[in-house]
Amino acid sequence: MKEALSLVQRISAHPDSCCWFVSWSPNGALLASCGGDKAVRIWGREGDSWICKTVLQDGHQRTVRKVAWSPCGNYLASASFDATTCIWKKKNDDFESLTVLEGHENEVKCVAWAPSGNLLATCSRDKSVWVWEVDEDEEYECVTVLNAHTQDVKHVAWHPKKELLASASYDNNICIYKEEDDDWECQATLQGHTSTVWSLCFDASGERMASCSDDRTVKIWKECPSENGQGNLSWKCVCTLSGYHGRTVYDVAWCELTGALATACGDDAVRVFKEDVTASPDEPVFSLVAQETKAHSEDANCVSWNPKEAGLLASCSDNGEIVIWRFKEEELD
Amino acid sequence: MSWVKAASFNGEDVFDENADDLYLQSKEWASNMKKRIKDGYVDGVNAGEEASLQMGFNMGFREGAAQTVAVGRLRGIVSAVWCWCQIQHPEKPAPSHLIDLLQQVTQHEEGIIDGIRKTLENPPPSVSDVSESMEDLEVKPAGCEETDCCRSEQKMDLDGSHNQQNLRCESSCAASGSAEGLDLLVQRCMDLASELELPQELINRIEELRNM
Amino acid sequence: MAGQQGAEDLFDSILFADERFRGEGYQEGFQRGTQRGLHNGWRHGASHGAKLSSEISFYYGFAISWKCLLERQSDDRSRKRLKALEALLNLTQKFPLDDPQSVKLQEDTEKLRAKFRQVCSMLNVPTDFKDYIRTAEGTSF
Repeated sequence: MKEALSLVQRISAHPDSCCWFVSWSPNGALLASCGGDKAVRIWGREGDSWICKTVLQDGHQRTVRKVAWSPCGNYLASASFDATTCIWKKKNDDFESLTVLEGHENEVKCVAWAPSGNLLATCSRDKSVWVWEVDEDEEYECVTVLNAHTQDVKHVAWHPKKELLASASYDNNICIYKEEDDDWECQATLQGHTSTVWSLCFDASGERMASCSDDRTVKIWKECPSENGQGNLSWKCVCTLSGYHGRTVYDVAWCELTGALATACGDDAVRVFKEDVTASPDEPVFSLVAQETKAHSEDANCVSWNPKEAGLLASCSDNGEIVIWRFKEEELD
Repeated sequence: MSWVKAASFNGEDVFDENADDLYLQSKEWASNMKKRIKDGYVDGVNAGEEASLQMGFNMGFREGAAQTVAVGRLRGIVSAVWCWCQIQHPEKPAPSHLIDLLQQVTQHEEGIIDGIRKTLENPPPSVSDVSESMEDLEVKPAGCEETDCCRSEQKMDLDGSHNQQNLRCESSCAASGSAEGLDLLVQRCMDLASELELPQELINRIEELRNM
Repeated sequence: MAGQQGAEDLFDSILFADERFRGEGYQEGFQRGTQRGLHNGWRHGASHGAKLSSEISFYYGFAISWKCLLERQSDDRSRKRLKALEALLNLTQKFPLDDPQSVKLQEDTEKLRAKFRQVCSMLNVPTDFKDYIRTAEGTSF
């Protein structure tokens, strides 16, 4: 096996600014990006290249930190440092602002849609995680405010199959939340990282989670029955990838199609890891199979696998660029 | 060995000679014993403070908490009514007497909290106070007085509760001074609620605050 | 023998005097320290208690009012709001204001603040309302 990342296209997406985050639409046809220019841009393929289809402006007064597509692909949520989250609705080829979610005291750091599409999670520097419910009338209502972290909450991610939410924080911890007796509760606090946890994601099955941190490591957590046997699940760190990253690991993405794990790092590199399928599930082994040390000229902020086209990877950087990569696993004879 | 001699001095064994010498020795002895007492005193102060701090905190906490329940609730009620008005009639500003009432209640509450802080703003005794109060302690030669532990403890308890009563009196005086003020605010809130035709159930809730 | 006995007595009485005077000082000091501790503890306790109780009581008053105001409405949205208000009321009533040493005090305070923020969001409480909300922030035990 010989693997490599090949460059598909380099796009100056948010010129004179930085690009914080990129997110593929559920059908893989569109890529949304957001940045320091307060705008969200939607990219689509035309022929062999990716071009800007539309720009969502005037929604936010400050940096747009994250964007998320609803599972149906008809809505887009953008989280901004202006303390609000905008919900955009797709209309033909354009998007219109549907509603603005207010409530966080300051910078909203992340937004994520639950697989059902009925729940939305946001998190903020105000240390809280909010869960919003969407009704048939497209009205959004806060169903809970969770204060399990003691510091800035950087990222939220939903379990792919259950209504289980995970959050990563500047307090070095990961919290897992679940609805219990009509109210949401922090079910588990995962300790292990020695510095800010910047991002996390579940694998396709939801049985495992990858987290990345300012401590320059990536950790793999596995769901296991809790010792007290009360039905609650606990999560154990089963693998730590250390020694690969020269600086803060800002993002980690687990490909639903191939199981490959990609990282975006403050050392400007994009790396891809693959799991040794022969290893025990309780002691997984991941090895670095591809890396672009100069993927970007500045910090790589985010990596995202296309959900439909195996191996298609997007990354973005502080210099405002998006890069589209193709990760290839070539069979040698 | 002067203070050995002095220590054995118990009234029966009188050295009539060298009275001046004895006086000096006795003085030295007294100074040594005074030092003992001082050492013990300082240790005692620390131990006593440590032993009673939490208890004092707990008592004060409950007392302080009791004093802001009614006014805190009133502030919550007036705030809710204010929000209700804003949401029901976003086109017009909230009635001015409602805004005024909210400010008055907030001020009243701040007054209570400030009052609690001020009545108790006696700075705690400093090290120099401890040394000064040492002067009040009489140092007597050994054998002059029996130490009565029980009596001391009793005295301590008495003093403790006396002190407590003082505190309680002071702060409740501060609160009672404003209790009439609170009744007035409660009445104003009730009038306002009737004027805005808010549910009777809410007016009853406001009235409850009178008897708290 | 008698001399030795006398020396021992003497030695004992020195030790005794030493300890006794120290003990006397200790007793006086302990008494003073106890007063001081009660006073200082009371001072801090009263201030913290008043502030925390003000915050919790505020939530109660706020929630009970909204409950009264919304009770007659039966639409879906109002029912959801009432449920959240009930949860807020429940938290204020369970709050251990009579037990300053409760290990749950901090956790319960956080829960209550979170629930209040949720309720405000659900009720579309105007943002400038924030000026009227004071928390007992900085309270530590």
